[in-house]
Amino acid sequence: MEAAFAARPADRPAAPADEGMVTPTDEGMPADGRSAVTPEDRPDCKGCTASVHDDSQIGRILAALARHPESCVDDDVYEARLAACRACPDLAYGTTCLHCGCFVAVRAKFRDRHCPSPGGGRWPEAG
Amino acid sequence: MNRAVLNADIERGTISRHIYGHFAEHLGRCIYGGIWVGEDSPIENVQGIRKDVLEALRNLRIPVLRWPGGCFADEYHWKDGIGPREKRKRMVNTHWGGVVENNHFGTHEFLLLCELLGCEPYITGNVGSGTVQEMSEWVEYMTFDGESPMANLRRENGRDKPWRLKYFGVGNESWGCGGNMRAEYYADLYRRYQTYVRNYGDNKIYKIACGPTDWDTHWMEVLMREAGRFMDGISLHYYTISTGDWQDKGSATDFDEKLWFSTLERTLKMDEIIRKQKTVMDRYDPEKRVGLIVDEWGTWYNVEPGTNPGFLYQQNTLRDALVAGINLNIFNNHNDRVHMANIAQMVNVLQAVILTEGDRLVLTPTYHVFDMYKVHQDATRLELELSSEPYRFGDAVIPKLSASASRDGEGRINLTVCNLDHADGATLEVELRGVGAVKSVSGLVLTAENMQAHNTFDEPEAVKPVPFGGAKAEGGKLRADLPAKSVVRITLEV
Repeated sequence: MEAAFAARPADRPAAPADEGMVTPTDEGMPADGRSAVTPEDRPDCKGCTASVHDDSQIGRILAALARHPESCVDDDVYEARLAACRACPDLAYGTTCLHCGCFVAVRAKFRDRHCPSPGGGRWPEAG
Repeated sequence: MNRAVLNADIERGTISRHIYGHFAEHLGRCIYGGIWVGEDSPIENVQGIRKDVLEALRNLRIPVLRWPGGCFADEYHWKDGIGPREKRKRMVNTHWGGVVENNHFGTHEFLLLCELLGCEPYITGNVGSGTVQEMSEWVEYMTFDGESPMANLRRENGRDKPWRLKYFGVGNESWGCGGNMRAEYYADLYRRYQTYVRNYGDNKIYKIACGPTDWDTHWMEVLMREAGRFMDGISLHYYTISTGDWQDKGSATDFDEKLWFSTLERTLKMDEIIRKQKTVMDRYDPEKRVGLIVDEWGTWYNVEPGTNPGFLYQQNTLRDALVAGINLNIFNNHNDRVHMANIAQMVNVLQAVILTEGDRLVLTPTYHVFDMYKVHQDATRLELELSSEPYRFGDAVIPKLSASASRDGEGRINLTVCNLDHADGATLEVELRGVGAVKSVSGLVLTAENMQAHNTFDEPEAVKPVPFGGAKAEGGKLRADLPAKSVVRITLEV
């Protein structure tokens, strides 16, 4: 988060010179020795904006996978797997397996993946 | 050659076992799926808590566990998480992407987990969206032994005797997700809220104020000046971002030598940050009464491809083992002020020590570092003067080695050393002063052929510690040949 220290907001007065303060010219510190960290400086701090409803990467990954058919199951297997996922009580937000955190639309595509549901999985053996 | 002087007759106080603490938040699959599966789950459990995870964590001798957040703490209303589970409120956890929270893991379940782990609970209260009354009543609910509305409510929910609760945090990241406050405003709020965090009976609470992030010494300055006498500890958060860019934090497993170096370089900043924050703390608290509580630290990468971005699930390689080893050495060496540290997070989120997938479990390289380093818990730190060779990459230079040393209760001396260099081994010669005769030398080493090595559910032991035969002691000196990119523990029987 070093970039957040680049500037001091104009509305914050400079600190008075104070004995015992850390050296204001040290790396990562603004010139007046105060932190310039404000919520405005860190609108995306720590990735808090990541949403469980953001499925925008699914299309990109599937498009990339399409160039590697050797790693993917056939369409009928894929559809059978997804049907099992849709019927599973541990599918969240319509996209995500709660046993592994994967988007099922991606995981079900891989030939070498299995269903992580405890007790042997729900995907058809053909998968 | 790298050289060090180990002054075994110069003791530097106790390394608090709480430096080896953990953090579990209602986020992704940390609590739900990673720890709590419920009593009806096909996954083997102890009163709803995964048995395999429990056993793996017990082996680490976890001293303290922080809960329920993190950012989640400042929108958590504890009364939603007590009583019959089927009647508990469902809520949307807006801090972490809108996930639905059914509150099945609440106060009773968390304190049960701590009892099963044999660790201290560290609970963070809600300042951002909670009331003073709510916080006060939570403490009363957990710790009051007599006749009172909250103690009676606890009894109605099946718990007669109060729990012991030592560590209580008053808000989390109040400068950000916990309320977007100014330091001056939070300092006053802290003074107010903590007033009603009562000590009931002989339960004495160690109160932890929300401290700064990273280099923010202004926050520390204001808090120590305005509220220092009302606190026992103050938190500090610092994450290692391999790229330095929060918008693109890099991959956990797909990285090159440059990113290996920059990750470790940024990890070493922890030492610089602690020094700066300690300087401010020393001004107001020269007796070092107030502890620095590094209650969120670790690596933070882009999520694993194909996983839900709101779950913050990432893999964990040998690089993470080095990050853990370096940070723990730094905390050990600042034991005069660092009273506690909590890696983020325990299971399935960020730099986890355990990953789960359905009923399977894998121990990460970071887990093994905690296992190797647990010998330092409550041990006496010994003075270690390290003179390290430089580790260069391009124009950048960092020390090649990181190290700390302690003497345990049995008189054994343990030295933990990280060789940060991705390519070259390192020879370390340690002059042993005040040690006496060395009866034997043993050790463990954690390394791998590749920087990106990690454990998977299909190959769970790709990275694990093995006996280290590269150290010998003679003539008052210890010589160790450390492999490239390794974490090593050397034990001297004296």
